[in-house]
Amino acid sequence: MVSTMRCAFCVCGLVMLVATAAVDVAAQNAASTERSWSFGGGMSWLELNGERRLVRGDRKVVTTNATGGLAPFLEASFKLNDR
Amino acid sequence: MGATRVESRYTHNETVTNGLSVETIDDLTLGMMSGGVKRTWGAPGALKLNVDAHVAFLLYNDRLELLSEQQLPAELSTIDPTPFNLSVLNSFGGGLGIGVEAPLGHGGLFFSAGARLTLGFMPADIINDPEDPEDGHDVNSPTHPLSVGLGVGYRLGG
Repeated sequence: MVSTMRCAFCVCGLVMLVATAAVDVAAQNAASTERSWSFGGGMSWLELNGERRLVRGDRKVVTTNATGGLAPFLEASFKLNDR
Repeated sequence: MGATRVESRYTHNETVTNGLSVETIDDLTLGMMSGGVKRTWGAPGALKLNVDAHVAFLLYNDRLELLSEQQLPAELSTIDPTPFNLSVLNSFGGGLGIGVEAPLGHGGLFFSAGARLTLGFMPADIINDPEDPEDGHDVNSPTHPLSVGLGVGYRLGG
């Protein structure tokens, strides 16, 4: 079940990655006013900065702390104007 | 717009009233689809600085299998067994980023580096919770993904 969900998630993510379009209101230099696309990708370290604390009645307390991980990323942008 | 995906781990520390503490580890996958606006400063062919503001769709994939009382040691048998699993839900966030771009040659290729902070929440529901609230989620934990990354890109035209 979990692996199926993860597989579905991967496929969904891949579709979204491919479908990624850009709205980059990039302020470019005054010498260049042509609209343009740019595409990129790379690797980042992503820290989740998440913590969960859950109290169940007066019996049990659950605290969770997320750790980070390496995260590939894709990016697309579109220069919309020159400001 | 951009997209990123990370597999991470959560460490759960469960403490029962009598002081017993149990630690479990769970895998968590976060996908983040974001879109926003970016402002860039810099001369053509030179190093460029940029800042961005973005909104992000946070896709969590996790089901936290927390310890239930059924698994507790015999000395805690006076506690009624109750399931204690969480189903994590997707949510939205928003944030800011800063970065630099440096051209690699004259063909449109560039190197990029940057950092981005997204403020968001991770909602979760307790599965089969008899005390489940009618509205809202059982848990709404702050989750603020911070990414620091390096990459390459290619600019078409412009």
